[in-house]
Amino acid sequence: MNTIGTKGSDFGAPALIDDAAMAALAADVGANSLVTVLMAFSDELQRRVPVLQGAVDASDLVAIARETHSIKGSALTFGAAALGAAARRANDATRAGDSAVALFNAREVLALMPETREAVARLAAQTAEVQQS
Amino acid sequence: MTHEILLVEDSTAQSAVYRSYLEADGHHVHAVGSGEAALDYLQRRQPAAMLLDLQLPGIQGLEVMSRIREQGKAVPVVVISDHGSTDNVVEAMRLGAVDFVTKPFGRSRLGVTVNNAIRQRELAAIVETYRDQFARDRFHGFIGGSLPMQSLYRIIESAAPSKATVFITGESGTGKELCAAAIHSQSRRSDGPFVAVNCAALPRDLMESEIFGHVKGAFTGAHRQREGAASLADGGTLFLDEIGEMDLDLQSKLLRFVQTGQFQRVGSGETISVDVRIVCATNRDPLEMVRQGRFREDLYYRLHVVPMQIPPLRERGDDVLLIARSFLARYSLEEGKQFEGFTPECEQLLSRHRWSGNVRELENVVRNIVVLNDEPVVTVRMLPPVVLQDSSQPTVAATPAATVPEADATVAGRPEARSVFMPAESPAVSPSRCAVPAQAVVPLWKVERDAIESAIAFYDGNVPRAAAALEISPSTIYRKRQSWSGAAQLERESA
Repeated sequence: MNTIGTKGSDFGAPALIDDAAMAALAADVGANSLVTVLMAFSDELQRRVPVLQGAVDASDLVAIARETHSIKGSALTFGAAALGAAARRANDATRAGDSAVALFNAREVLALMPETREAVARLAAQTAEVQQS
Repeated sequence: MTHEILLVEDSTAQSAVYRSYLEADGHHVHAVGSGEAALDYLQRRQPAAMLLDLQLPGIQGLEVMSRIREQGKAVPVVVISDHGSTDNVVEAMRLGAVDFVTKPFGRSRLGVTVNNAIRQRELAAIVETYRDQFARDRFHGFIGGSLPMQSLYRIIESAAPSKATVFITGESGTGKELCAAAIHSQSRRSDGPFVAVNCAALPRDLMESEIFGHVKGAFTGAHRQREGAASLADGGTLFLDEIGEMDLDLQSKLLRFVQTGQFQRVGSGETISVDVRIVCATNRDPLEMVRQGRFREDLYYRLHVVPMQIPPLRERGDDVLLIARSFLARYSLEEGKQFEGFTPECEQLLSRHRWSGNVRELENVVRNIVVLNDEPVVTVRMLPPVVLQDSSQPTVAATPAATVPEADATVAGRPEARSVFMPAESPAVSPSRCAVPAQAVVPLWKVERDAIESAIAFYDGNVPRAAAALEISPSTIYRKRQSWSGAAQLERESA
C-alpha cells in the first residue's frame, strides 16, 4: 500500500505523493494557487480514467500511449511518484510495441488513479483549511 | 516586464501549474489545449513567446512548429518535452525552437528559459531594425554595404531634410553627383528640380551665364533671354560640381547668391530671388585651394556647412564586387550578352586592384569585358592588363621598375603628372647613340600600353575622354587592352 508523505514502501516502491516534490511545487506556485492546481490535477485524473479504461478495454495501444504519456507528465509534475512510474512503464511498453506489458501496466495505472486522486483531493482540502485558518 | 505568453498544453493540470509559474514572473498567459487553437491564436496575436508541449491531441507540436516556420511567424518557441523524447526535441530545434524544458521542471527553470527566449527575440528585433536602418547595400543610386558607405548614407539622411549647404569631397569617380542627387531625393524638395552644373566642363566666360542666365543682347550671340541653372533650380536643388574650377570673379557673385538667394542675369540689373538649396562638390582639397588663393575663404565657409566625404572604392571592401556584379548584369543586358558572374580568381583580382579611377574605372573595366567577350562567366583571361598587373604589384599605376627609366619613376602612377603620357625613353633611339641600358628598351606594345593607361589614369578612368585626348576611338582602347591581356599572359608564361 502506498502512503502519502513517504518516500516509498518497505519494498522500495515509489510513494503515492512525494513530499519533497509536493513541497517544491507548493513553493513554486505559491499558497494561493496550490489548491487551484491540485484540484485541476484531481479533476484531470477523474476525467482520464474512463478514457484510459476505454483504451485498455479496446486494447488500443495508440490511445493507451497518448493517455499514459499525459498522465505521466502530470503525475511527475505533481509529485505523484507511484502513478508517474506506472504510467512511464505503460508508455514505454506501448513505444516498444509490447501490448501485453502495456495493457498490464495500463491496468496498474488505472488502479492507482483513484487512489492518487483521493490523496491529491485530501491535500487540496488540507491546504484550503490551513489557508482559511 | 509583462509579456504575453502563449501556453500550449493539453493537460489542464500541467497547464494550470505552468500558468501559475509564468504569472508569478509577471507574464500574461493565454493557455490553449491544442495545436489548432495555438495556430488560430497566432493568426490574431503575436505573443512574446510560446511554450509548446510536443505531445498534443490533433496537430502535434512538431507540426505546429512547421506551420509557424512556413508562415514566417517571429514568435520564439520553447518546447516542453519529457525523458525519452530526444529525437522530437532535436527536430523541434531544427524547426526553429529556441530552447526546451524537460518535465518535470520548476518555476525558476521555466522562468529563465522563457525570459531568455523573449530576450533573444528582442535582440533579434533590434538587430533587424539596425539592419534595416543601417546595413543597406543600396541607397538611392549608390550600391555598397561597406561601413564607410553606411556612414555616408546616415549623413545623407540626416542632412537631407535641412536647407543647409552641403560640400561634397571625394576622388573622381566616387559618385559625387550621385550623392547630390541622393540628398535631393531624400529632402523635402524632392518634388522640385535637381539641376547639376559641371563647372569644369564650361568655358569660364560662359559659366556665369550658365548659372545665372542672361538677357537678350547681353553678349555677342545672346539672341534671346536664357534662364540659368539658379532659376531652373527654384524650389529644388542646385548642384555645382567641380566648384574649384570656378574663377574668383564668379565666386564673389556666387557668394552673394548663397548669402541672399538673389542674383542678376548677365546683362540685367533686375534682381531675382529664388529658393534653392546648394550642394557643391570638388575632387580637390578645398582648404588647400583657399590657402593657394584659388578659392575665396568667405565662400568656402558659406558652402562648407555640411561636409560629406565620399570614400574611394579601394576603401569600400566588398563593395567592389557588389558594384562589379551590378555593372556586369546591366551591361550584359544592354549588350545582349549572357554573363552571369565572375570566377573566384577574377573576383580576387578585382578586390585587390586599387581602382584609382574609382567606380568609373570599374565600370569601364566591366563594360570592356562585356563588349569584347560573350561567355557565362568572366575569367581572369578577360581582365585588362591594368587589373592583372595589380596581382603582382602593390600599386596599380606603378610601371615595372625594370622598364621605367629613373627620370620617369617620379611621375608613374600620378594622374596629375601629364609627362606620364610620354612613354619611356624612345625605343627608336639606337642604344649605341645614348646611354640607355638595354633592359630599358621595352616592346612597342608596352610603350603604347603605358601611354594609353597613363592617359586613362589622368582622366580618372574615363576612357572616352582619354581616347579623345589620344585622338583615337574608345573602342580602339578596349581592343588594345584585350590584346595586351594576351601579350602579358604570353610574357608571363615565357618568363
